Formats: sequence, C-alpha cells, structure tokens
Amino acid sequence: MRVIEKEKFFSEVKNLLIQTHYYLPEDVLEAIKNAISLENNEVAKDVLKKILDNATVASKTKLPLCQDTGIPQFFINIGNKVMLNFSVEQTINEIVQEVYETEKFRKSSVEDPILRSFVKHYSTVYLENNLGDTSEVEISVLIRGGGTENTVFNTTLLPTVELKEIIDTVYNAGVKLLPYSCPPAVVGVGLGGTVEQSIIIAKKSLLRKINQRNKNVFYSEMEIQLKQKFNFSNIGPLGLGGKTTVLDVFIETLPVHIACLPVSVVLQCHSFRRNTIRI
Amino acid sequence: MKEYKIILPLVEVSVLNQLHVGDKVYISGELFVFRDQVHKKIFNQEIQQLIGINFRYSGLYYCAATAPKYGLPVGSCGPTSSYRMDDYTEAVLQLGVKVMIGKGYRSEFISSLCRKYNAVYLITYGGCGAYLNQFVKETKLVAYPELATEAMYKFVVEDFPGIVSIDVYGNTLWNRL
Repeated sequence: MRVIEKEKFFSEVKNLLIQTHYYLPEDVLEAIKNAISLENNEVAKDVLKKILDNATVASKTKLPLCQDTGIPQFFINIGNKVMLNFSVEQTINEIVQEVYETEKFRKSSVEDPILRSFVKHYSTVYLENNLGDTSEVEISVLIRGGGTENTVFNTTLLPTVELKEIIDTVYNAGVKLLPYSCPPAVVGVGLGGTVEQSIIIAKKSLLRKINQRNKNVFYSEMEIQLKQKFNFSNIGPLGLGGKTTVLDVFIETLPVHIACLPVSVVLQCHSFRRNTIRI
Repeated sequence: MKEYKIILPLVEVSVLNQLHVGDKVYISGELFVFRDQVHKKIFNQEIQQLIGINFRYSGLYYCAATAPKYGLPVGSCGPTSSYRMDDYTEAVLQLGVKVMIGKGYRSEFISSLCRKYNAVYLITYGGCGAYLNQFVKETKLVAYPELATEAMYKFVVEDFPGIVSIDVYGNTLWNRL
C-alpha cells in the first residue's frame, strides 16, 4: 500500500489550483480558435478574440482569468492501493485558504446565506473510491463562479416520456439560461440517478475534454445533435449573436428508479477553469 | 457597428442619443462600481453614506474586482450579470446614473427605464477580467466598506470597451438577433 504524505498532496494540489486560475486549458483555447475561423458575425469574432487576449494577459501577468474566482470544487478519486494518512477535506480547505490569500483571489462567499456575516473562501470536496487497483489518486478541480452556479437547471420527467421531450427539456433550459452564463458555454447534462446525483454527474461531465464524446454511441449522437441545435440558436458569444453559443455538450447517465427520470443541466462559462492531475 | 468615445460623467446627456444597439463605445473618465448589495441599500434608502456624492450623468459598472497586485490599481475586473440589479435599477437611475455596464440580458422593463431616464446599457467582455484590467487606471473606495468585495468603488478608466445593448430609444440588441 502506497502512502501519500500530506506535504506532497498539499504542494501538488496547491500548484494545480494556482495554474487553473491563470491558464485556460489547451482544449478550450483550441475550441475558441476553431470558433473564430467559423464565425462570420463581426461582434462574435471580436468577443472570441478577446477571450484569447484575456487568456494571454492572465498567463503573462498572473491576474486571474476571471475576477469571479468563485468556489473551487474538487473531485477526488482514490485508487485501491493508496492511502492518504490525513484529512483530505481539511487539507483542501487549508490549500484554498492559502492560495486564495497569497494570490489575492476574490473572497466571493459569505458564511451564511441569510445572516451573511464575514466574507470568506469556500470550497467543496467530493471524495470517491473507484479508480480501481492503482496506487494513484486523481484530483480534479472546477472553479465555479456565481454566473455559472446561477445557470443550473433540474427537473424530473416521467419515465415514459419520448426522447424528443428529453431533448426539448435540455434545449429549452439551456437556451433560457445561456445568455446569462458568459457563452460560449459548455453544457453538462445529467440523466438518471437520484435527484442530487443527476446534478453532480452533469457537473462532473464538465471535467471531460472538449470533443471527448460519451462512450455510448446513442448518447454521443445526442450530444452532437444538441450541440448543433444550440449553435443554431444565434445566442452567440456573450449573447450578442453568432454561431458559437456552446463549445460542447456532455451527457452523463446513471441507473434510475423505474418511476423517475431526473434531468439536470449545468452550464459552464467560457472561462472554463478546470484541471486534473494524478499523484 | 459604429464606434464612439465618450467621457463620463457626461457633460451633455444628449451625447447618448447618437448611440444605437450594436455600436461599440470606449469610455474614459470615471465609473461608479457596485453591484447587488449596494443596489439593495439604495433601493431601501439606506443612503446616509452617499450624502455629498454626485451621481449626475454618471456611469455605473456592475463589478466586484479581485484585489490589486504588483502595484496595479486593481486586479481582474470583469462584469457581473446585470439582471440581478434589474428590480433596483430605477432607484439608481433616479440618482442620475446614465450609463450602465455589465453582462447578459436584462428584463424587458429595463428598456422602458432607459427610455424614461435617457440611459443606456452596455455589455462588456464577460469573463475577461484580466484583459479589462488594462483599461482601469485608478480606483478609490467610495462607500460601504463593510460590504468588502461588494463595497462601492470608483474607477478611473481609459477607453474601457462596451457594446450598446439597450439604447436611449429602448431598443435591445437581443431582440434584434
């Protein structure tokens, strides 16, 4: 059994969190460049170029990509042959406090939703243990700003609905929320599971790389169909019109109770701060 | 798409009459900077701290920036979603604000308010806070320091970019798409 010490975990995750705020992922940069070559709307082209300029400025000056340094959400998956001999949640919290203070990231959360009180750095951790017989641990981080957290949709449909109704539900929710989510966005869709799981898998789908399709052909085709549909909506970058409304659509599914069909849609803005490492 | 340069606060409010949805505007001068909590305070008339502050013909930027680094006046400073301010916007326009800057669509009634108060709404580059930093030259804390991140600031800007999304005639960019 391999043991990972707190010091190693701390320094690796600290580095991961810092990099995530200053560098837009390669696949996202590629998708934006691609979109520029396909757009003929002048305003849309301008916005997409500014997204690239922003990434250049952020990486050069070490100013965060977005002022909404948000809530970092960690998804941690632990292999069967590795042991972490410290509290992962507590350590993540320590890392977030240190990084957000030293890098001067914004304090974006209050202690209580109604009583509010002091502003602090808040983060979440989802721990899983299904990485298989490996001595590694996989750590992903997704920075969620207020705009993207406000553009999450969840409903439950009848288990007997036609496929068209599921697609329409996702599309209508997306079109309604997209103008508020700093498009071009990535659309995460969760189908099935229990209600809270459907939201979590929709969110976790955002950890996939752009153009990484669902392994099931049925769902990968549904992803492509939805992507095309969203990009015909003419919402465009920042809602100012154009072909580039979404960079991708990711669908994830889980087993579901025979009476239920939870559907969740989680939007992710173009400031797509996400990263994964293995230790 | 025409391009205009305007200076805030405006000397003549009629300058806004030439702006139409889709036009690009570069703003120099001063912008008030505040968002949700200050809007609520203004709406609820908790404005003792604002006595002596002149909002006449001014600009307002919906933003809560990151703290300054490396001697810069401010950190990342992109816009926040404007729709959350909609219900409080008339109270702010009554103070004299004429140019609102943010991101995203707004409620239909904001068009009527823009007509009524001769005001405009500009969308700037959402999610581009590092890029927008370079147009901010000075910042100053103005009021409500207890709101921390959300306190009221003033930015001195040079050629800060925006796209006219609601004009003084009440036209909206998104209704034309």
